[in-house]
Amino acid sequence: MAAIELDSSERERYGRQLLCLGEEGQSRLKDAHIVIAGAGGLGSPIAIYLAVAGVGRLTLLDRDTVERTNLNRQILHGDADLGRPKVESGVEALRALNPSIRIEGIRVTITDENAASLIGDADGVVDAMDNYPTRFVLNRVAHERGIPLFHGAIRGFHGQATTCVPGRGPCLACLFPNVPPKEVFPVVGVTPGVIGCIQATEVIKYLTGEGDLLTGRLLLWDGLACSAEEIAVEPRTGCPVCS
Amino acid sequence: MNVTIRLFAQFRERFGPVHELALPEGERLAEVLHELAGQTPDGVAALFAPNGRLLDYVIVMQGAARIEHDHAATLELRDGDTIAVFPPVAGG
Ligand SMILES: [Zn+2]
Repeated sequence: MAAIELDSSERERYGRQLLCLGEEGQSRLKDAHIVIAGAGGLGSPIAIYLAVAGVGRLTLLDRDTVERTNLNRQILHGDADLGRPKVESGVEALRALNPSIRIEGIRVTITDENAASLIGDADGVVDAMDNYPTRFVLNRVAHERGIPLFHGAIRGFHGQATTCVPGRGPCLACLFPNVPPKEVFPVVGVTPGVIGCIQATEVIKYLTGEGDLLTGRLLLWDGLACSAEEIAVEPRTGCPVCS
Repeated sequence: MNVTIRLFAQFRERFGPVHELALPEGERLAEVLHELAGQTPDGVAALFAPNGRLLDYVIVMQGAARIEHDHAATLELRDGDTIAVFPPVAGG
């Protein structure tokens, strides 16, 4: 028995995926709250696909305004949004795609101090950040709250993704002890498209209990070779976050 | 012994995706990586600091275990090892 009923318009909207997920899976999506940290290259496809999939509550976090250099990849925002806060144009675009879910945007810089309250009682956090210091903050808070962190990162035609579920595999700090040097990273928009879609797939699988998550596995995408490989990763003894 | 080195992201573009190496017994991880890096112009500087240590952010995995850089200089490779070397990509 599904915990939350779907109404007739939802049955129609989600008809094709009800064939995969069933009423129970769909109502689990409807019952879920997911925080998307970052409304840029990764955050755009993640937010779009989670919104249209019917995740009941989405919180979009970002501190920036839309710049022209964003527009080769950040498909939540368009030319008319230049100068607007990304959370504002992002929430507007998402509401237009699916008015039946709850979407909120918070214009904020995620810090050690505010991360726990921003994440609140969410069922999962999606890492759509562009820097490791903030990723490590999200990793720590998600671990403390016992909720998954859906990690993704990109550069050029390359990307990586993994899913950190507390108690079921390594966390982000097990894998990446140090921060790579800061750079203006090259990127073709399709790369965050690919990786963001993998992250959104992981969220949907986690919430509905379908399939095998990327826990204990780092997926490495090479768009130039068009190949996805994976590396098994063990939890690290002595990890400052999870051990 | 036979060892496979797999490289990813920027390192793949610089060094190629995979190297199957036939090595004498007892070869150490850092030496093998140093030699491989040295075959490419500026390759050593892409993996190693001037003091000869692997750069902090370079991830080296032996199977599913991440190797601490302090350990890489003395770690003896084993027949059949698969070593993965990559820089975490950072962009979003
Ligand atoms: Zn850990």
